[in-house]
Amino acid sequence: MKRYLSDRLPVVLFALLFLAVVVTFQCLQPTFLSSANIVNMMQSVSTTVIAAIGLTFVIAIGRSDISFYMSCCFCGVLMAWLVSLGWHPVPAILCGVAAGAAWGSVSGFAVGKLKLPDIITTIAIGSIAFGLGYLFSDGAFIMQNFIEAKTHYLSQYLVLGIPLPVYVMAAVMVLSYYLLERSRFGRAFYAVGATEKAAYLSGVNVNRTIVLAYVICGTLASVAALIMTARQGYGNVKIGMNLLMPCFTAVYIGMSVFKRPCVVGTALGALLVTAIATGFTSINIPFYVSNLVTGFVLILAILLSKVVVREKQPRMAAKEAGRT
Amino acid sequence: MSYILEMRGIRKSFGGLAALDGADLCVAAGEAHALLGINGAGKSTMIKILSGVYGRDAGEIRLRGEPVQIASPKDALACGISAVYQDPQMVESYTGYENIYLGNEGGRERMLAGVNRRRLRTMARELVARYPFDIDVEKPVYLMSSVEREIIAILRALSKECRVLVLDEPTSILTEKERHTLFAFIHTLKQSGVSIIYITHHLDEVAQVCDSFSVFRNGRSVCREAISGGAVDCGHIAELMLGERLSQLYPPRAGQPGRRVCLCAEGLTLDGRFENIAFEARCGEVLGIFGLVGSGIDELSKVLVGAIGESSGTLSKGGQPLKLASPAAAIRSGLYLVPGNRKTEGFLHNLSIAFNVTVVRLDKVVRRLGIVDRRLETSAAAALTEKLSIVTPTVQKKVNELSGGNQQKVVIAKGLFAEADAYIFCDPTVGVDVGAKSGIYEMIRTLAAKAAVVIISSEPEEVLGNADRVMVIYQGRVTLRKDATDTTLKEMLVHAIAREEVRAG
Amino acid sequence: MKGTRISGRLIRMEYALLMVLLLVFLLFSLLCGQAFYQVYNLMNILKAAGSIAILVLGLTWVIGANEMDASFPEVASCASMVFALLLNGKTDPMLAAGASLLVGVGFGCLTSLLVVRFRFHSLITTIATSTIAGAIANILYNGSVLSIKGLNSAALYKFFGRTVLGFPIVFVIAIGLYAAAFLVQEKTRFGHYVYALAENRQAVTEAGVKSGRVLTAAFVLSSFFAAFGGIVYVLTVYKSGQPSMGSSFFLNGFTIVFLGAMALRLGKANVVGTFIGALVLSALTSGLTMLGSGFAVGQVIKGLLLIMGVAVVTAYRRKIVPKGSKMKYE
Repeated sequence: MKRYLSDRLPVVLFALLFLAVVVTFQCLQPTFLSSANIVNMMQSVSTTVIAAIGLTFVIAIGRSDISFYMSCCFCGVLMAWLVSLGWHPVPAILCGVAAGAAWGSVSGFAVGKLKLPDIITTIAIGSIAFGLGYLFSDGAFIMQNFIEAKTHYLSQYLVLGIPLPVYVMAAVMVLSYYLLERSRFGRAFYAVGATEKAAYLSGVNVNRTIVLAYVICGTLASVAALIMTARQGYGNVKIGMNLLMPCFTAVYIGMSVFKRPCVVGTALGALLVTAIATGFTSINIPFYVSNLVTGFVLILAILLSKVVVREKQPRMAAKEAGRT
Repeated sequence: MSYILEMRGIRKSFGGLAALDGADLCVAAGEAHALLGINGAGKSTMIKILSGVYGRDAGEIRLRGEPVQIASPKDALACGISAVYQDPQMVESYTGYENIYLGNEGGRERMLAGVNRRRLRTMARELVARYPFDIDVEKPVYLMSSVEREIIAILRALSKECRVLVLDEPTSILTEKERHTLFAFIHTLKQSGVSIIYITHHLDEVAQVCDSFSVFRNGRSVCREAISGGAVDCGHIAELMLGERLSQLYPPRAGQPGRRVCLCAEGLTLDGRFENIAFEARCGEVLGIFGLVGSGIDELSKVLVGAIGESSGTLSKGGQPLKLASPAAAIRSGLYLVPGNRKTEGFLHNLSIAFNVTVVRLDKVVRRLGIVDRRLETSAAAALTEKLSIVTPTVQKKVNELSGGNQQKVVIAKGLFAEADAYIFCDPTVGVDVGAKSGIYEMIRTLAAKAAVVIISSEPEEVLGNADRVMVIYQGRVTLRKDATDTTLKEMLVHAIAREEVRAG
Repeated sequence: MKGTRISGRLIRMEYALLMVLLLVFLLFSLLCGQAFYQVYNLMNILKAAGSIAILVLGLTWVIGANEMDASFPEVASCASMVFALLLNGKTDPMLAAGASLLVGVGFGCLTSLLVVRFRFHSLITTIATSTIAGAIANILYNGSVLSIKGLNSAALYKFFGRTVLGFPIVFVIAIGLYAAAFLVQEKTRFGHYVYALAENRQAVTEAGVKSGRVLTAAFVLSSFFAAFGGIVYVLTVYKSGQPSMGSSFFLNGFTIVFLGAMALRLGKANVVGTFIGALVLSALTSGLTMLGSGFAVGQVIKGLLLIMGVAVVTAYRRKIVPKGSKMKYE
């Protein structure tokens, strides 16, 4: 019984926190839960969820990726540039996604095969991608052909009253859930993140798993960037620059609720982060205030997950694990 | 004879299990005293009590006849007791003298207090002059040979006014030549009046450097004897170390030797670890390979499944040569290693029993589209937990939350789930209680009916009790190869602790 | 045999960064001709190098201790805003500068509390503190640039406009700070332990060193110098509080520090290397601007330089780690 409670406690806490956030904003701004605002919220939550789920794979293997939010900028402007050349949006989108996968594989190769330290290496690779993104327009907006090509359909097309990105998000969630948590391939990610040597001796291809995680992260980030580009209505190289913080926060909130990086946890985390952000916007408080709140929420989330973990590991065991 | 250090009637238990049960240890000034005993005899617990890492439940420690209280590593240092553990930790790019005085640079302990490297260098040189040894303390540690690193570690201990020095298996990574260098240094230390407690598995070293020895067995000290004339009676010591130990723990052996050769190794060599190892493991029997810690057996187990590279030699299974490409390839071709160090190599932290067990052969629990059938997974894991009597409420419990014995059983359950036809068990019962041990041994014997099983272990009893044929490895070479019924524990141990010349002498 | 040959080659590598610096100057003198060597341009390079060098002085030791600080750009922005706000509130400039530095120290304390006391991952922690610092910088003046009234008459401003023997004072200050930092790094326990910690934390802790204190000092210094740099940028470049000043520091800072790891103490971030790294990067920026090449080229070159620095650091670490029996995938 006690164990059952301690397992469920973080979920209850999260639900209460989320409820408190929603109720607060609803009281401050009665239109917060209006259908228009909910659609708006769903649109912005979808991109955060998609990118954060990609990051979940990298966190699951015990690494970090600081390149996805910069490399996805490249993908966004690539698509915009192709559309401006008169391409049909569908092949342009496919090219953007392929570019995301390519940047992910560059990071994955550097970290997984060359064994370079993950954080700094991905910062460098992300910066290169971002710099190359500038080449398409030298930092200016790319607007040609956008309206004619109906690119905005990607973000605004309503199916049964729900915008298309929400379906993309749902598809990504379902696929990632099955890939990471239900399929045999997903086991490798958690195994590598848990104990690398043991995973290797159990027959897991460690290096391939690391590369794959980065590829997935880069790909999903590019999908998010494409949707955001479509929503803005023009190609902007800085499109993904605000993804870093919400994605990390979402994954860590998920980890503090479910004690491991997982798809549902990340999605819930992204939901909370977006609710806070749109809530502040709806009462006309600028985005940076919500950033302040999100920063503290991130610290709180890690603190919570530390407390939960410390409770479970007897001190001696932790000490021994540290020694080996 | 007056002793500088006396530890008498020391008792210590962990969670009701007695690790030390009235053990004595006495050392005279300027002598090197060997502390002998097989794994789990209580040697390291004794040393940790002496150096203040553990407190003791009962017993007293006297230094020069005066009782002393040692409650922390600091107390031990203040009493002049220092320990150099296996694989001493160093800052690799720092010079020898910087490592000797690390954390002890003199002056005040503020962050901005100066580090006078010239002074440290002079002090280090004086230290070396006091215990003459040809070592360049200005060389960075990463350029030093293993023996130089060991000496730096010893000098670090000596720099703190050390009168009793504990050396825990100092030669485990040294080459033959380096050992003699170290021994010469130990002789110098003895002459300057430092007492040494020398823990080792190698009896030839005891004969060369020590003046007396104590043997520990089951948490008790069974004897203290002097060494005269630089020779030890290996047989006598092996008897003391073993006592009446072979119990009814082990299942009966196979009625007749297996005929079909399943796993066959030839000329396996890994630079600096082992050389020219060959064996045949037949289906239906257990091959036991015995070697002490540091003899190369751990590396051997990993080379067999292709986890360590750059080895030469061939391994074939059922007549087909194996490529030694990777553990994944080994599992695919039906060869599974149950690794020795369960915390880093055996199980996956923070993941459930079911996850751990099935990860080795996910194809067995997959439905269509590569999706793992959780019901299948749970039932498979539950069947194995029951078979191995793993004590746990559910198979969803995380493995690191189980007791040590149950963790080890999970590691073995992984092997069973792999359904290989050749198994290598590396130290399968480290830190496992007696009841669980016999269960594991029975499992291994049952397994051997259908598959070839190799047990690689540093416990002689475990090897002799389970195996049909045994091999002994000493310093990376095979020193004994016999049928289990033709050999004794004593013979095996003798071949695992000393070179041939010493055995003959 | 093999080992000594490699170390021989790597020892020569310690001069690689100076070569890079020479190469950059050579390249731009070829490409830009005389203009690059005009005193005015060279002094501008030194001025830029001095400012960024001050900003990343503390970061050097955090990276040197094998930790991570991603918050320094935002701490600089935040300090610049605090400084500008206080100046506009008629505070004494020295007092205002002191208060801004205290803000930096505060962020350093928060980071080190979380990393040292609660054992947070330093990357995640500093991403969080960086967001908080950035948010505060924006909140202070509603997210817009805060120009400082009457800055031209302030003594502090005039002081930063001066030159010493023709050199911009920022560069002279940076040299002074780096000389002091060099002494701290090479001659004190702090410097001694920072690099020991990076290599083998267990060895240092077992030797009885209070490693938590060393890390705390490193994180606090990193934020302190970030704030210092922020103030310097206000006084020498922007003449206003800039809430998003930090965005350009992120890549530049890491590139400088990791390039720096190629000099003096090979494979370890150190102050001498950082200083040379700052010169390289400023010369590069100036030359590229002169050539009229855009942001993209600079970004890509910096990214490549950063990877180069990381590769050297990694190669060095692999060299000194004792050879165990490594598994194949490692």
